[in-house]
Amino acid sequence: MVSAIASRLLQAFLTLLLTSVVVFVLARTSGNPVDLVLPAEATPAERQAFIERNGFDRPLPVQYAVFITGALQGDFGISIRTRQPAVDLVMQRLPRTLALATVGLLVALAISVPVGVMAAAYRGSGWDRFGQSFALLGQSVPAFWLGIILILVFSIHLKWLPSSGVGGWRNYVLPAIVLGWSISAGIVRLLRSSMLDVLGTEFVKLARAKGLSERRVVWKHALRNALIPVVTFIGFMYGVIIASAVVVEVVFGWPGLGYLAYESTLWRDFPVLQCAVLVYTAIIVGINLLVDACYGLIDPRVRV
Amino acid sequence: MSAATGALAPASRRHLPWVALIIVAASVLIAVTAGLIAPHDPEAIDPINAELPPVFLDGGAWTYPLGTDRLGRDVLSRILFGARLSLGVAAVALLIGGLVGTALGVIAGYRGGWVDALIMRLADTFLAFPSVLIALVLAVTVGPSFWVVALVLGLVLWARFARLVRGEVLAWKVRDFIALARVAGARGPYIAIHHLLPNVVNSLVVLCTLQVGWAIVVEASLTFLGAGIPPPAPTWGGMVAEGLDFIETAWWISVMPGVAILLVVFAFNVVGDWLRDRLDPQLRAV
Repeated sequence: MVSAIASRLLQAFLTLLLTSVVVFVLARTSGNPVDLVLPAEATPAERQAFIERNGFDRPLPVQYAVFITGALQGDFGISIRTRQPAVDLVMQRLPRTLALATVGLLVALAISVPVGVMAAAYRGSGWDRFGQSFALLGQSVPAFWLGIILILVFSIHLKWLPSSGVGGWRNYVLPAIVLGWSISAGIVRLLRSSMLDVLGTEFVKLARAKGLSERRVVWKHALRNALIPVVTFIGFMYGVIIASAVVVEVVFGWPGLGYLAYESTLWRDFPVLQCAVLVYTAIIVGINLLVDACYGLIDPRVRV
Repeated sequence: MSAATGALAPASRRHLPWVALIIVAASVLIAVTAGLIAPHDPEAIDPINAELPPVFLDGGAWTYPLGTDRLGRDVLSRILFGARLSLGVAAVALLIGGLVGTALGVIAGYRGGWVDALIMRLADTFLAFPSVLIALVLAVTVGPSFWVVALVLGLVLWARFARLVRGEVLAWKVRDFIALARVAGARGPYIAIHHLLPNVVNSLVVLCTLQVGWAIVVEASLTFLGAGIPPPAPTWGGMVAEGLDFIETAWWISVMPGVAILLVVFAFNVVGDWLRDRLDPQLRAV
């Protein structure tokens, strides 16, 4: 158990290290880093001061050490566009992305748990085929395009829901549906096969033999056990949902971290983009760690 | 999934998915022959006929069967040429990811020990890699291009291949015929190529088919964000993005290329699922 935790921590550390190295190397080796970080209208004196302050004349590993030390203290430089510290901009947007991702995940569960359970309980039936097609379709629809279609139907034609921005709960509906459906495919598939495994075990036969109703057997005894692998998967999915939120936030004008990253690309606001990418990675890695830690709570067999 | 449940898979999923196979074959054919079958030059501008609706709507004409975009470019021709770019990126990415991943997967599985641990830790690291965001960084630093997208996709894909191949190799290498080959004096690389790889091919075909759809969707998403293949190239994701500002008046500009993505990706996924059931019962839970 201890070695498993150590291995997980090492994993998280490696992922963060890799991402920071990639971002750093890309920033330093492609063209002039001064152009990337300073605005175009900077004077030669400002440029010289910037080079000296950041030590761009020193060897790359030393520069990386300086960069990562600053980053660990929350210093990612100043936004080219707004002249605010990059980390402030990122932290401002972060809660909105987390809120949207969480609602999206809840939508995904609300869709995929009933579909997955029904597909397994009535395997080979119309329900099963519907569940599997539904999962496959969700996997095939590009999220950005689905978002546009929903806006076209529900915002422009029916005028039921807002097409962009934040405000009340109505703003959550469309983007959360897009995010939720796009990841529910994997959950349906996994839950179905996990349910089929559990439904074939001895204890389910025993529960049936005891005379419990089929509904109780499926929804209580079997589902509870079948959910164990799904929980780990959900942790992994949270990372996927946050990453795919970039596209969804852009389509729905949702002012979250993904939209900020996108805007930074347009403005070539590298300090903000760099900070956003590393914060993103840290969150995904952190959630994966948290899920692994929770795994022991859900499945007693993993406990020490 | 246990062997018992696998054998009971519904019979309905075993029959040939004709429609999906035809769409897959057609999309590959279109990608190869786009230059011959497209009615117009995909980048030719025709301002007089800008935002012309598709033929089935009022004001549409057979000259532009799926309408034109805001510059008067033919939507159908752009979609046909888009197939070339979408499938091309997917093919290059799968080639990079498949070759690297398979090689490292065989090495990890066959050698075991610290080599295995190192390669698999590296694979896990790349699986958690935020590919969309790294693509955004690449778009700002080295500039967006076909090869950047293919490389970013390959970076994630190799890890998926490595994981799959390693698992298979672990199962195969304890078999008697591998031990026999070793006794006969065969060396590691020979055993890997002549005895292990042929047994992994089925799984590789299934994984490739299932990843084509993923690659097409991610490429389209990146291009939609401006971090993929840059304009004026006719890409499906780029077309959807360009039409976004005219969605209320000329919806077909964004909707048509999306339908193309959906059809092709759905078809590849259906074929992949079917292949998985046919060729590789072990993969069924993936």
